[in-house]
Amino acid sequence: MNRTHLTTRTIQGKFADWHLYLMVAVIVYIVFALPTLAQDSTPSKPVTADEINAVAKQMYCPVCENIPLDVCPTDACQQWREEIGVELAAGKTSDEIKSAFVARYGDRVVGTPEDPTLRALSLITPPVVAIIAILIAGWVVLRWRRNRQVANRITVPIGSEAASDDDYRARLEQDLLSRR
Amino acid sequence: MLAELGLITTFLALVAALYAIGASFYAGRKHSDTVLISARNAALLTFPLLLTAALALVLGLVNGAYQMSYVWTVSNPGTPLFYRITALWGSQKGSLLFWTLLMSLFAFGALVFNWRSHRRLMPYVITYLMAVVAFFLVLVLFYENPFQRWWLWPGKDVAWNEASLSAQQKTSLNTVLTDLKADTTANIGGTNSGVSAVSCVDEGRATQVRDALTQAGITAIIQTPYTDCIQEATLIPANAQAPDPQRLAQTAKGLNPLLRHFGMIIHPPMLYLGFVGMVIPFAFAMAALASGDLSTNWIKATRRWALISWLFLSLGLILGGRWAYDVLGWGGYWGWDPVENAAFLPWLIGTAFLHSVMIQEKRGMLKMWNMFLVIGTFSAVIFGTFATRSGLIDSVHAFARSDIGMPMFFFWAIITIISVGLILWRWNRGELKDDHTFANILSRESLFVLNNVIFVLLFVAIFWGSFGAPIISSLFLNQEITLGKEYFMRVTPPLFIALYILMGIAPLSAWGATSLRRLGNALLVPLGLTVVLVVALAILQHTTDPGALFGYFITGLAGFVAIYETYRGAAARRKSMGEGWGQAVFALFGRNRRRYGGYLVHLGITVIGIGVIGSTLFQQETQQTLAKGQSLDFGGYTMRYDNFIEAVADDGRQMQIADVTISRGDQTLAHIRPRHDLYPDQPMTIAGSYSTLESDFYVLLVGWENVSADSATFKIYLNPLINLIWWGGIILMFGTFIAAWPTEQVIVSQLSPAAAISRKPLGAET
Repeated sequence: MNRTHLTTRTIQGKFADWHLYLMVAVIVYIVFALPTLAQDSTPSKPVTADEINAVAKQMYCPVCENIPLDVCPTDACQQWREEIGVELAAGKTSDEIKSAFVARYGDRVVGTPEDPTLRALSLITPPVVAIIAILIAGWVVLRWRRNRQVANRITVPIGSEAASDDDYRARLEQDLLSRR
Repeated sequence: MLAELGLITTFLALVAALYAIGASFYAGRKHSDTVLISARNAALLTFPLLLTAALALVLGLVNGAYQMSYVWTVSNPGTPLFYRITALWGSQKGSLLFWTLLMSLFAFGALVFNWRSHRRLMPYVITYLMAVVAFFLVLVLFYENPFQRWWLWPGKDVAWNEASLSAQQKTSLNTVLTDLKADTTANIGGTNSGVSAVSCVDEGRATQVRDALTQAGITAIIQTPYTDCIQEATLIPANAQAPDPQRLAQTAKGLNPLLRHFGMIIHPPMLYLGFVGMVIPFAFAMAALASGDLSTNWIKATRRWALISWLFLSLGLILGGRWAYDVLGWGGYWGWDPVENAAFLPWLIGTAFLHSVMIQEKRGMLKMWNMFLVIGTFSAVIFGTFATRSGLIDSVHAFARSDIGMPMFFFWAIITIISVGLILWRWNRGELKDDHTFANILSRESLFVLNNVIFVLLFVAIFWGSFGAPIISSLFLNQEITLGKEYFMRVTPPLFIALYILMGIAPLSAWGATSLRRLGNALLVPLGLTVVLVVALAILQHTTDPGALFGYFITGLAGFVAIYETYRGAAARRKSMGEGWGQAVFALFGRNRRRYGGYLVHLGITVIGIGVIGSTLFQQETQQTLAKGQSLDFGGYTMRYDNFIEAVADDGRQMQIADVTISRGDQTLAHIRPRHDLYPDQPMTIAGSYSTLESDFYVLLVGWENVSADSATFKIYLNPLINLIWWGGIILMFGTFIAAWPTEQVIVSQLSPAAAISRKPLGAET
């Protein structure tokens, strides 16, 4: 009986010890793990003004026409920059932040529209014009080639301004050669 | 008195311009010399008349004549004399008058200097010049009159409650009120409780409103006795009195703080001179088309005018960049803002014209193309003016609401349509055919054509980004978009690279044909010098960035070609004439101003290009908060925040000033004072900077603790090579000045070609 009692006490004591250990473990976990958990919702390092400006530089506020957000001095722009800071702290990327602003305020808040149609309209038109211009230039060159024989027969008239320009060059070369 | 004087002289200038248009057109059709002289005199008269008008406004500004509403808007008793004078172009009304004055000055100059030499073109030149002047005078007199005055007059207010009205009754009432608003300056307003009012209307209008209200079924009408209403008007309203001058002085607004800067004082007149000067080549080109004299006469008459305008436009752009750098507080000089771009567009087409016109002069080619370019330049001037002054840039819909938006749009459309129509008409008649054809792809004319294509492509790309895409998107896709720096930095660099490459090659090519061998030989020395420059810049900036080094290479090559060609010219003179280096260079520039002035312009553009590459690709920036006494290491410099001062300036603005020390190693380099100015309506961030040819250490004060200022936040930029941009501008100015300077004509036509060559000293004008 005594033995049993002792055994029971021993078991109870062991249970009590185990319970104590568990409680200590929980406390230790709470003490060390909670800050780690808390860090999951806060930045690993504070967001710097430079990081905010790097995003803001690519954006425009709709109130201040054509002034980049990073240098816009108005209160509204300051609020937007603060919002960018919050989003960066939440771990969002530059593109995600810009897209969120575009969704709320439209494509005019970024330097190049994100909407595929508008983006294509904006960026493709100049190269298309350039290609057309180059094609026209190529066509002109081909015409020159066809006319080359005729053109080669044309001499620069003496006394004309083009001729005097060439005279000038000829004299210059002549003088420089004689110097040597 | 001053307002009356200004108003009358402006009106007389309009009458003179209209008379000149009619008389010159008649003289052109009937070949009447007497009428033509009369037209010329009337055209000449517009300048002294407008000068008198502008002086009247300046006197009003200097003397504080605040009854003139323009004076009240742009100055106040605290405005220094200097800024009172420059306030002439401080707002829309005054600047339009100033713009018109400058245009009449250019017209005066062209009619005086080109009268004898280009008499045949004169009838139509006068017609077109005066048509443009007259249009702007109409804007000044009837839309943006700077001679309007404030008047107090007894008006009536009528108030009523329209909450119980039916839709039909409201429509009927609104029709009356809309007409009323269109006719008068009456204030029409309403409140949430349904009470509406018309204030400051005369007795007749008050009766009209009361009748409309009665018809609409409103019986509860409240009509006040006469009250003092203030209104700006050109002519004196009935029973009006002048307001108390002291009260007006107390409430006067003062000049926009952004305009209180040297760059902004000089920048607008330069830009205006550049803009309005382009009217002369335009008028001569149109006169050539109208008269049928399609020889090079119109080009000879206008080349110098075009160069002078181009010089002013270039200076205006550079000074505008400097102003933005100093005053706008964003660390840069060019933001690709539509207003900046609107001024850059005519410069691009104008530069293409200055190159292209040489081909017509020397080879009789590109006649039609040159017409398009000169008309395109002026059309871009008018479009840029329209876009920046009409509100188009704020919103594509705003220009229609602006007073001058519609007239300017129609004027731009009409001159463009007439011009293009005339070109096509002459072309259809076979009168714009070229005298020669192109012989070789490496000829100078071919390279100039390529240069023109690139300038036009740049124009298209920048126009598209600034106006085309935003307008089309807004009108047809119902989406507001902004094409910012990202777009322009993606689209324009390849075109600028191509331009610089051509700038390096074209001066070495010959008219007609150039062999690759000759071109290669001529490029050898400049190439070697360029490599040395690129290595030096790479070491200075610790960079191996291939893009940057390539940029330095192509810009440097263009500059060294210009320098080397000048050196060769001087060396040849030394040999043939036995002159010293200084004398040889001086004589070279003196005798062949166009060629060597042009080389100097190229050198200026090279220096600007290097500055742009350095400050764009290697700019560093950071934003930091520093405690007093704390230092920051940035870009090889150390910056220490020493102190914070608050002060009130003489003109009433509050200033927050940070004392900052810049050092490198142990050596203190400078004490600078970035500051924040607070005007009643507007804050301004004025940078403090430590400038060397190597870089600008540019500091902005962007925040501080309100009470103690123990800590302050700074935005710091390191802008490498940025000062080269301003130095390049000065070189460009000298080069253009030399190229535009009148030259004695050397007559060699009577001599045999060999004799002409042997007798003509090297460096004589070609």
